[in-house]
Amino acid sequence: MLMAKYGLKWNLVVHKVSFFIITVLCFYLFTEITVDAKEAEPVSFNDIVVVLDCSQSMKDVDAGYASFDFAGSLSAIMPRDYRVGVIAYRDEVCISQPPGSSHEMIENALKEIEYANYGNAGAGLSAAVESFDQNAAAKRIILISDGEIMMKTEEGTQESAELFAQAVEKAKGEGIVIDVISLGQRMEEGYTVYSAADTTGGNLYELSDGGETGNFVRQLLFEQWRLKASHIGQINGLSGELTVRLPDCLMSTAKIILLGSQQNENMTLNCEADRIHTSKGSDYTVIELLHPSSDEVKIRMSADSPMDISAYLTAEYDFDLHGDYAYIPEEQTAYLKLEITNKNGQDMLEGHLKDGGMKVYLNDEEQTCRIADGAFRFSRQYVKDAVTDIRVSFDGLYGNYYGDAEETMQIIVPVIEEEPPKIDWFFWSVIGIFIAALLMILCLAYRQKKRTDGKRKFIDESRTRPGEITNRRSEFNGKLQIYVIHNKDEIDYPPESINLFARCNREMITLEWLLDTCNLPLNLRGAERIIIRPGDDRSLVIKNNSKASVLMGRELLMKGHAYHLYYGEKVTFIFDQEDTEIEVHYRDLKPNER
Amino acid sequence: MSIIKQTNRTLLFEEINPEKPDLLTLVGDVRGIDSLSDEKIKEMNEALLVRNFDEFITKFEPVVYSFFNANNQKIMYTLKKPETIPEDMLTPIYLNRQNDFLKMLMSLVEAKRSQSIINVDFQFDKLTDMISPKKVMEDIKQNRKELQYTYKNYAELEDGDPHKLDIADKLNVMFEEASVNYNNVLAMLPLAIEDIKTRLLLGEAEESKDNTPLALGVLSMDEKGELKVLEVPKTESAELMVVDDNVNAGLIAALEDDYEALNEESSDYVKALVTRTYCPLASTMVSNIDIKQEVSNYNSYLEFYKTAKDDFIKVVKPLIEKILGVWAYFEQYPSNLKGMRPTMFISNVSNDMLVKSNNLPRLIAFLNTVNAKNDFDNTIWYGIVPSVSLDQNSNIKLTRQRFQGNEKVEKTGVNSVEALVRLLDVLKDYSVQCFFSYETGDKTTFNYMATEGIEKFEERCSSLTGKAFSEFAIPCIPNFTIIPKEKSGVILDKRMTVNENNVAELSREKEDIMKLWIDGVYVGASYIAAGLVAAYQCPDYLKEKFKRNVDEELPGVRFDIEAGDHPLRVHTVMAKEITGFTNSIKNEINRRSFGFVFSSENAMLETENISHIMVYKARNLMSDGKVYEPIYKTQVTTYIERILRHATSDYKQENIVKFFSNNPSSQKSKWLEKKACVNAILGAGDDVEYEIDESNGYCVLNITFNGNVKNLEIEINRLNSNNRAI
Repeated sequence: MLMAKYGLKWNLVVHKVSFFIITVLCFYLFTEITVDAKEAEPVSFNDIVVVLDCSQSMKDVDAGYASFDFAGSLSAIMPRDYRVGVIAYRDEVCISQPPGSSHEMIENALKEIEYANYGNAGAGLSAAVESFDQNAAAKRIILISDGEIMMKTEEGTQESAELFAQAVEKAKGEGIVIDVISLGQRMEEGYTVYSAADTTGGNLYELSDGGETGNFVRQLLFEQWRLKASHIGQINGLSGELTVRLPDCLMSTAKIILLGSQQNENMTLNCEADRIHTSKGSDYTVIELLHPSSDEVKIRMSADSPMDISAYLTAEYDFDLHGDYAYIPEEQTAYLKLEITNKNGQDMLEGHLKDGGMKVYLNDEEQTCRIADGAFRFSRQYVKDAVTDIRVSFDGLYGNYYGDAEETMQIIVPVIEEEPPKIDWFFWSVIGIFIAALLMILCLAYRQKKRTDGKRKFIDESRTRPGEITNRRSEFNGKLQIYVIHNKDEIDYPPESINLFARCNREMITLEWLLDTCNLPLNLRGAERIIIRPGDDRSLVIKNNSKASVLMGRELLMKGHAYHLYYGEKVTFIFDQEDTEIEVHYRDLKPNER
Repeated sequence: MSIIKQTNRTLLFEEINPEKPDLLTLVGDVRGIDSLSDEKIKEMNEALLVRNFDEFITKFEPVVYSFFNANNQKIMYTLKKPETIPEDMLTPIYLNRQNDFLKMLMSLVEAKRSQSIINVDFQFDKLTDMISPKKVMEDIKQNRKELQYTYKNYAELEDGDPHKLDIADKLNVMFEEASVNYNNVLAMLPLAIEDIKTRLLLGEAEESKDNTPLALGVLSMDEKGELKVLEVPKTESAELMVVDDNVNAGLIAALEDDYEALNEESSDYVKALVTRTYCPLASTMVSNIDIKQEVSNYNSYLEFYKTAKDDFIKVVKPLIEKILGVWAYFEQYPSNLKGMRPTMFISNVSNDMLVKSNNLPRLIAFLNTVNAKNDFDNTIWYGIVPSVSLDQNSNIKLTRQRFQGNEKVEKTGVNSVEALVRLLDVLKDYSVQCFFSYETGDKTTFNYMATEGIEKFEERCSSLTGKAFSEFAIPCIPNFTIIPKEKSGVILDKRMTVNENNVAELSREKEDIMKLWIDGVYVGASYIAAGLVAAYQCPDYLKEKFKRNVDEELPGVRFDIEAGDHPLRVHTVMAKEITGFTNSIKNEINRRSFGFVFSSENAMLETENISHIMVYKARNLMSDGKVYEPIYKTQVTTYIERILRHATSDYKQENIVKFFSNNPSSQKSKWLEKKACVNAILGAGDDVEYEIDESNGYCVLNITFNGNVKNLEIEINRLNSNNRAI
């Protein structure tokens, strides 16, 4: 009617609706795919660009070219997921090595230049900002300068300062952090570079001269950046020998970093590896061992002047995870196995990882694993098929680990097909006859009950009847406290207490026995037919076969039925049309009462 | 404190005013129910819970009823409202802060406290004469001054002035207060006595007396220049009106009107007496006084007043002692503190009635509601049972009474030991620590204990030891003396005689001194013991006493008042009574460390002299065969059990493990962190460990107090977890 009213055709409406649904679905699916694609993209490297001020004024504060050494050491030491580049500037940019340049390339480029002319920090920083790869996970610029932006002319200086400011803003916009290492006394006048650190959230380090950079490298790498490396030794004096024992030979690369004042012409190295590469600067030496095959490395050094060298070890491991499982249907448990190997297929659990240092998570839940037969082993119950994500994490002190740390496994629970049992006709006919007989008995009992029980009104059957046979062997616990609320003669009988645990070793007792034991001469007819037996969970089972009314809470107990009385509960007995009323409280016993 | 906000609510088992609601009535029928509704508890708190002494007086209005017996011409007093006597024949006498007897006793305690004088040196008669007619009159004089001043202001203002209405309101209140004195004859007696005395003995100078009758005169000189005092002719009342300003005339008229309006059968004599008392004019100089008649009236008034006061004191004393007990309970906690103020829940029913077999289930239902839940706002921690009967079996058998001795009066309001046992049997199931003290009298005082020792008390408690409830029974000794029996005489006045010159004078004969005996007033030690223990539960109170090392969050459940200098810092506010106990008595106390014993000793805390009564021992009746156990152990155990029950959601096994774990956020670790505090739950040398018996579903806590282990057994998350066993 409504469609007719607006002149719409049914086909058109269906068409439009389906189009809308398809559009929405497409949108949804594509969005999903885009998101998935984004998430799948590996984020694997961090870029650092060292920007060096090579103006004439740097000679005053860094005559030994320590800033060059700093850039070289950084490129040699940083692990493979860090890429280091160098930009140097004077009037213009004079060296431009983008992130990812090798140590040799940087060293060779730096050999070519010396401190001269003016400092166009603006051009230097702009070049640095431009040099970053957009895909880098983190970007950092380390600017080493005496702080001054100075060109030949005032206009040039101003231009450079403006360019510098723009570059800082751009860096800020692209999330690039600029650390400024200022050598010499801080400049208070003119155009300076200090503000770059503050603006981009970086740090400003003030060093008195280039001689301090040696110590500064150590602080920066191991204390601030917390590079994974362990301190393995020290060489002092004119000559020294250092024996380094590698934790295992499963790494792709091991680096031994020697930092401190040294004369690295006289160095002997004794070790076995696929390839050994040494990078040297005036205050550092980095020995890189590719696939070492012996775990012992001996370094011998001597010098004309005393040395003060600290040695550090860092290693890079490449790993692969292989997960597997065995399902035991009887236990409904999957026994999971996780192997970890390096690129050569060697079991990494034979190396340093066998003593810990690695955690295994199953669906983000940390697992307690045992290592057996070269694999982590743990188990989990599965009742149906499931996909599990296994993830590993490493907490080693010196190792950097590269590889896919996640493994997804499909656990398939085999379906056990049970053979349909053959129908046992004889058994079922016996059961059928038995049920028919039971129904007849119940019908008869119901009719009987209806006849005898017609007058009772307020009976709630919610209280379950306890199984009577199972409790026979239980023992009495607790105590009963008996309060005579009123009686025919209106005598105030003091409350009496009876310790069932100590005094009662019978199978059952009656209310009459209780009253006699407590010397309560009430002579109640039917008290002998109120039976009390021990029940489950330290309860008492009360069964009233007399004409007395028995109340538990607000509930009137059915005659002939058994009820539980638990600790802290009470039961009231009313005899002879409310002539006598007795309250019995059931209580726990303290150890000293037992 | 976030879970348990109070650990000091006290249940007083005493009847204060039978006309007010009581615990049994409010609980009502508990057939078929185990606990009471929240509304019921709120209603009970509104009726029976008091937070200070004034609230107690307002809520319970302790009262004595008086009526006249025409046959023996006496005033009868009773604490229970006589149901057969019509309302208008009964005069209720409220025992509040205005009551002269109660006021006198409270002033006495305060005066003793401020003067720090022991009983033997204290001038009790200086304060006991507060109930003599002279003092009553002095009070009235003060009141009438204010009345006259206010009426003067009232009369001066024009009609219609709004301020006049304000003053009228004030005047109404003052007349109401004054009318208390003149609308009952008994209250008029001290006025009449003093009035006659003023009129008849006007001529009596302080030092010397002459026997000539008085005639007022003026000093003048005669014709010869001789100095003479000439008698002034008696003036008429009409002229006096002119002399006075009209203010007093107006006041007289107002008083007369008020008196007539309040008393249907007014007498001219009383009317004149009222006006004379409140508005003394020169017109009191009546020319023709029948001296003999007046003297006879005076003597009979005085006699009547003495008998009435005597009877009143005899009847009211047990109630007064209860009131003073409640007052002393609240006095232990300084009024300026605002922390965990002790509160008192009063059963207001006699204990004989409460412990009847048919009534005990009601008390059980009440305690089951307030003490067996995980809500601890209404939890009862202490009980007070004062005046437990002290059976004095004398071996001396008198064949004949040669001298008038003490009458063996069957003391009313005394609790039998049997009643105490029945109460304790219920209280132990709900972990209520019960302070009890023996009946008051000269046989339970400091003085008596200093000479006789504690053997008698220990013997009397023997039937209470070795029982399941012994841990919760705390015998408090000795009782406190407000007025000792031997110093309880009050001289009201002397009889008057007429001498040969027809001049009235006070008799100088010894037998004519009208003296009444108050016969000793005492306060049960249990009130003060409970008051002090309740006070030191409050961290603010402990902070005030110790200044440092007090945690502001924890209650004083673990505070051991016997330890170190604790008794010197935390002491009662009652003044010292005697010079101290002898060493042999103290040895006797220390041998088994019996009871909650107060001591009146000389002690110094740094440079300060302690002039108050202190706690010497704080033990319950649970004994390991050698010594009795300190009361704090029981309370710490109860406290830990309650906290544990709450924190572990009724003893869930995994929660118990968490509760006792070494994790810094576990309850045990939090307690152990505060070990150094005075009010730490686990002090230095204390520890709590647990063992779980999984097969039986029990968890046993071993609470170590300074090396002594106390066990607490709890059932792990079963149907019923409210029973605890030690």
